[in-house]
Amino acid sequence: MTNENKKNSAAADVQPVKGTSLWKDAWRRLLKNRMAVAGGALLILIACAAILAPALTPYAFDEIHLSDGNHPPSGDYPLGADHLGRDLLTRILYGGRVSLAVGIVATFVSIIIGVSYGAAAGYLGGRADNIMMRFVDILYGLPFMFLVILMMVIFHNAPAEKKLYLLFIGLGAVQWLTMSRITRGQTLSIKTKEYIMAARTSGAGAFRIVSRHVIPNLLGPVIVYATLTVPAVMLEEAFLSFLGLGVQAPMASWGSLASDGRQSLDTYPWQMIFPGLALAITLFSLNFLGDGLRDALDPQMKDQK
Amino acid sequence: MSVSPLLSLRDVKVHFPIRTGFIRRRITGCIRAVNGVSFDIEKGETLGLVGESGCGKTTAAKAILGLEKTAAGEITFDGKNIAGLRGENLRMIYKDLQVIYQDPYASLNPRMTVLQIVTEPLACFNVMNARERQTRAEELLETVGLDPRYIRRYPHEFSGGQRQRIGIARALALNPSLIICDEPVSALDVSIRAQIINLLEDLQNKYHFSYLFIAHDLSVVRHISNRVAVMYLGKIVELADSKDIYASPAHPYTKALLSAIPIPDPEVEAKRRRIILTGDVPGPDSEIPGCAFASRCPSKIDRCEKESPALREIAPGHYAACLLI
Amino acid sequence: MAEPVLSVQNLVTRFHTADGVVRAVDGVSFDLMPGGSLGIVGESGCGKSVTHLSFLGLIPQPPGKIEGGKALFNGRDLLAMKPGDLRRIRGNDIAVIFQDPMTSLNPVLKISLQMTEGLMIHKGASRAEAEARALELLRAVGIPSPEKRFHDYPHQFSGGMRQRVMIAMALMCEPAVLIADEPTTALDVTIQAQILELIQKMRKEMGVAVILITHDLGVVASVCEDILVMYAGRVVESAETGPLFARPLHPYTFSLLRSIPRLDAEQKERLFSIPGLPPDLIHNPPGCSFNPRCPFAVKRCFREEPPLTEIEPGRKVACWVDIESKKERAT
Repeated sequence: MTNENKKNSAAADVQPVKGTSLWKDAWRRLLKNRMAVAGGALLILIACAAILAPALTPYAFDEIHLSDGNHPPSGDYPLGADHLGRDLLTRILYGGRVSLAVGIVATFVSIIIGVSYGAAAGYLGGRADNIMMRFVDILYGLPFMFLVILMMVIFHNAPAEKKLYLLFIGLGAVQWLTMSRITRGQTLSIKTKEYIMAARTSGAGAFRIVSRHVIPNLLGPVIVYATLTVPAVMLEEAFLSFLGLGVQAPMASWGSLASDGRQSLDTYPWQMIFPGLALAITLFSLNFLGDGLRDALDPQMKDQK
Repeated sequence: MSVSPLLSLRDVKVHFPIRTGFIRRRITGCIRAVNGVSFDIEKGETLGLVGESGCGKTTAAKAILGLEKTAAGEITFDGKNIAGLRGENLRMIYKDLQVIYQDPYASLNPRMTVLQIVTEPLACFNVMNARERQTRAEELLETVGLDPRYIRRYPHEFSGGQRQRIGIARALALNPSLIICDEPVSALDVSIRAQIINLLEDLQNKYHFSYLFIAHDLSVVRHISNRVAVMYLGKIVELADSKDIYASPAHPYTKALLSAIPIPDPEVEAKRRRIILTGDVPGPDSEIPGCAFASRCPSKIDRCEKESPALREIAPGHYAACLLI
Repeated sequence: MAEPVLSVQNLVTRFHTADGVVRAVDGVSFDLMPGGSLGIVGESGCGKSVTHLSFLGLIPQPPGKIEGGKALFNGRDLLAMKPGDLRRIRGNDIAVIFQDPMTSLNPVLKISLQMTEGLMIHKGASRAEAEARALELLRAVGIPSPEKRFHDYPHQFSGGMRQRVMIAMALMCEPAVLIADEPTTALDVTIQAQILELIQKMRKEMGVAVILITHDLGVVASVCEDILVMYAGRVVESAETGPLFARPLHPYTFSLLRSIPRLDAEQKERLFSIPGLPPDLIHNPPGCSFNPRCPFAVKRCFREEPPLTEIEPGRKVACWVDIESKKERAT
């Protein structure tokens, strides 16, 4: 019998000991998707540019050259300057820091809250699930953006940095509702899988089952949704900044830059076009990446067989 | 009998309530999935549990495992009553009671490596440190006939038969005294089934644990079991030594079941008389005052529809529930 | 000697996938006589279903591609036919029933409508004629009080009853060939016995030729006159049922028969187990596909693929070894 089984495993594959996880598999599929790779590369480029901003431009983001007010794009000011003569490229790079940070941190906040809440509701099931999800339904009914606006108005006088954190939390709190619904739905379907029952009869407790068996198996859709949440949050931040409730001058985000530029769109169009373009390119890249991730993580490709 | 059995079920019932109503959901009836089942499993023995889909065999297994709530009855495992255990008390029984599942594609977490899967029971009960666990996992893989070098691989990199071996290794990890096999070969290719059946037998000869072997295929069950219990609609209709169940079946349902199983030999087939059942299987929610098999039974008498037959000993060690015997 | 109603010759079907070319059906041939019954036996992935799906034009193309062979139905090649003509034959002259009746029955249409539709379209029957025939067939397949159940929806029938309805529906247009693809796999054994008996009865009464496709050797033993054993896309053995079971000549058939626990066997006799894994149709080993698992393999098996050769009248085997003498065959 040992003989037959030696043959058995030997036939499966030859040497390698290391396995390919489903994540690695998905990664391979993702690399085959040109649009997604292009989107991802562009995002990395934009993020690097934003992080390395001080090294890329000779100006500081709040450096004022009143004599160069509304300077059109030129050698000194590659993307032109605003009405105070601040270099627009510099401001877009620094603004990217804020926009990207808001997008990523708020999404992260929404994942943490949404996934743990949704997984708990889905796994506990029954009455607990019912109460928890009705609570989400109620929150859905509230005009949440209005609450964020209200919050920003109330903390109007808080220091700029604190307001940024508020923005992170506020926007994340808007997004976690959908995240928790997605997670709960996934959890309900994963809960009925035989390997969950197998984990229970292996002696795993509820916490272990949720953290080691449920969550790793629902991360796929969560990641896909997260890549779509980042642009949504960035747009919301832009919207708040547009209303003058987002980041405060002299700090800038792409939204606040576009908002400032809007006032002089007729005369100095670059002041609106370039920040808008930065936002648009980022959003496009994220969407392509999200699409690619969805295809790569599609459970129907592998999980069935 | 001097030694008490390892597992003992006494009149176990599992009922699923049927709720109707839109606003106020009320319980208006129930499905009697397991309706008074009793049997014993001795140490080192294999008890086969056969029946067709919906007869309650898997629900009975879930009741033993505490995954389904029992409505009545006693389940004694290793001298302790385990019916109705919950939480930590329930968890502790899995140290000694393990399961091999039907579908090797669904019963292994696709995100975990073979090492993580096989050592999960050890981790859950905090047995051994990480290095000892890895050694144990390698040992286990060797035992079930897999190359221990594949310990870092993932389930999707194995074929169905190999995955089932991984599932078996996981069940062995804690050296349990009873393993419940829920249709362990029915999802496998025909040419792989014999490998797994032989492996299960070899393991039992080596480690002397008991099996509760659940399947719908009577030929497989009879092959591997010492005794066989036949279930029909939530009840055991016949329980006997596996050679007696084929040689001298007593219950009309067992007879029909045996005659319906095709034998891969046309000469034998030509000589067999096939009992073709007519009539409908009663719905799962219907209340049957008499024998559950009466609606399809070829030798039914009037009494069968009124009186429910009890399982009684008709020969030493041979039990049947039929009014006609 | 009568002409076969269906004659498949050297059929080759491949699937071109991202991982490579899957040789799903690799040179399959068989004849089906009018009113005859042929069992095609094999494990999942051996090509037993792809064979009939191919000549009925039911495989998705691409990735599938029929790369050779003929399938003559009453002398006309199904593979060379226009899709429209093939559609007229399908369901009309050749009917198929599948494992899961629910996938072939439309859940939102009543049984009455689904049964009569074909006859009215294909044969131009009037509604009254079609309904009369449908009721007659429902009665013949053993649906109790068919008049009452006639206007029910598929989900209102139990699994066994649904398969009966499927059989009745398949027989509506009086087909010459009925292909039953794992018709009883989803059913309980006692119901399986009923359905197999029904198929037998219909074959005798209506003279329809039956192809029964299954993984269960027991099922074909009781139902079919001739048997085709398939492995890795090829026919490895074909014979009349009696001789095949009494004296299997291909190592695969031989091993498979011995590896199944038999109800009438001595208990606790250790099962013979076939080592190794089912075949991978992309990376077939050179030579015979069964060679990695074969207990009788000789050197030649690893080099050359054995052709299906007639060894005795009515018996064909694709193997280099004469397993009865365990010597290489002198061919």
